[in-house]
Amino acid sequence: MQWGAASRLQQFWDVRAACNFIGGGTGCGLLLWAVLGLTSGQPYFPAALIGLMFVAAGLFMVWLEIGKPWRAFNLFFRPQTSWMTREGIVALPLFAAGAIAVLFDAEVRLALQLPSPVIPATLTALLGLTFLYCQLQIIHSAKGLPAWRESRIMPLLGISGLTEGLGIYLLVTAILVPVPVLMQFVALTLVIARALAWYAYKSALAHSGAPESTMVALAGLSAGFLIIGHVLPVIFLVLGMFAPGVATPLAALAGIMATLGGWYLKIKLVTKAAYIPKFTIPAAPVRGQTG
Amino acid sequence: MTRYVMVADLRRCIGCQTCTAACKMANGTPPGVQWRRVVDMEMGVYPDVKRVFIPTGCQHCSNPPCLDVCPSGATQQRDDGIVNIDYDICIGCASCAVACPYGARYMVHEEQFAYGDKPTEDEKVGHNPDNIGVATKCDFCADVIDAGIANGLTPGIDPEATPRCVNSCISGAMTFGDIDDPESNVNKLLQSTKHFRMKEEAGTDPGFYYILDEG
Repeated sequence: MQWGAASRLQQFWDVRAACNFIGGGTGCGLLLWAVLGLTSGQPYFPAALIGLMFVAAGLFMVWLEIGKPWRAFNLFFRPQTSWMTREGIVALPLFAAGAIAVLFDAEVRLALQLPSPVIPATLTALLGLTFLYCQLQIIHSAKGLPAWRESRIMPLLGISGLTEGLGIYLLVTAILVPVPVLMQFVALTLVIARALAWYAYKSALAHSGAPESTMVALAGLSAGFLIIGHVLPVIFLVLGMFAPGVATPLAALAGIMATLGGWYLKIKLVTKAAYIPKFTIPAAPVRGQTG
Repeated sequence: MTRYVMVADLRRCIGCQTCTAACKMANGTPPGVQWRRVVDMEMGVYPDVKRVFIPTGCQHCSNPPCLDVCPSGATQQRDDGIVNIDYDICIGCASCAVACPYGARYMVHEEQFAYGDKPTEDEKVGHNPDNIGVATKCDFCADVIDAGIANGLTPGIDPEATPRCVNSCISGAMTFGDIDDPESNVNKLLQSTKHFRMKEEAGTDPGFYYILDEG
């Protein structure tokens, strides 16, 4: 059916745009957990470096998406209203602070006798959270698409970013040292919180008059998202609590699944669920009376 | 102040798409890109079914969501209410396209023509290669309006100062004018008819009115 008489799936942003939200969420989440881990004696350098690489990869993917990539610097022109401009502005100090923090934690720190990376790492994490908030606002300000403009998409994707970041952090930590029990509890809490945010988002969308095609798309992704991103991680984390001997590999596995679940959600939200609603008119025009 | 708006009388529109053709002719838009579109809609339940034709396009909202999200400043709003795009600044991020509740923005990433890989003689007239990879949309034929005003003409009254889709309409369904002028053609028309605007709940204050019946 012709667009307008029926709703239409947006095709302006594809999986490359989804990758920006994946990179931003996972990377910024990772930067937060990396600095929290640092304060409790966990290694900072590998996690923070990977976090920065995620953010950079996401931005690179969106650079590939835009129609005029060699004009990309024009995106800095409207900070007064555009969250995309603000995202770009925050990215600059984020990478600067991140580079300093990573440098301070590298072996070069010992050679140069640099101070602890806690201060630049904390600043990096705060800038990362700001970057993530900009991304949430970018998707929320897509007023043409009910699936994105719904306010509850912000807590959903915000929690998902933190969960994805923690998922990768669990994996990185598990490779280097045993995963602390506290971290496993935090992961369990985040996974459950994301599931609740998902139901709250879907419920709000259903009551907002979103296109039926959006609701069908969300129903279609729900099972995969919940099983991959929630049921399996919860099983692995709970098993790990009862079997401390294998808790670290199970936590890593849970982290991978929780992260994949978030990525799956974002790809589907961007490429399959975002419909522009059809036009509706209050009554049929009364013909045959005009002069 | 001046605010230009479009009024479409749905009682008169017969869905001939001449407005669409006139727009494509003037602007050389590629296949699939219709800055002025006519939606062909069915209403009612069998056997009481009606067919309605709805001319649409950019609504030139006074509170346009596309404006705030634009990171480059390419999307602008003129003092006369026309929302336009500076194609030399636009980076093609499509933020505006996903922000528009009316699906009025288009983007193509490679040159396309109606027949083959070269423009027809008609397409050459309005073809602009700078429009590839950027967001594009209706600008109410701002070039025509500006030229007309410069020559002392009145948009919506004098054809030389009026958008091409309005001039081309064979049934007189489309009217253009300044809604801030109490004596304007559009104001008089709207005062005497029942009308609505599309997706008003979005809070965009669209500048496109649809007439359904006598007032």
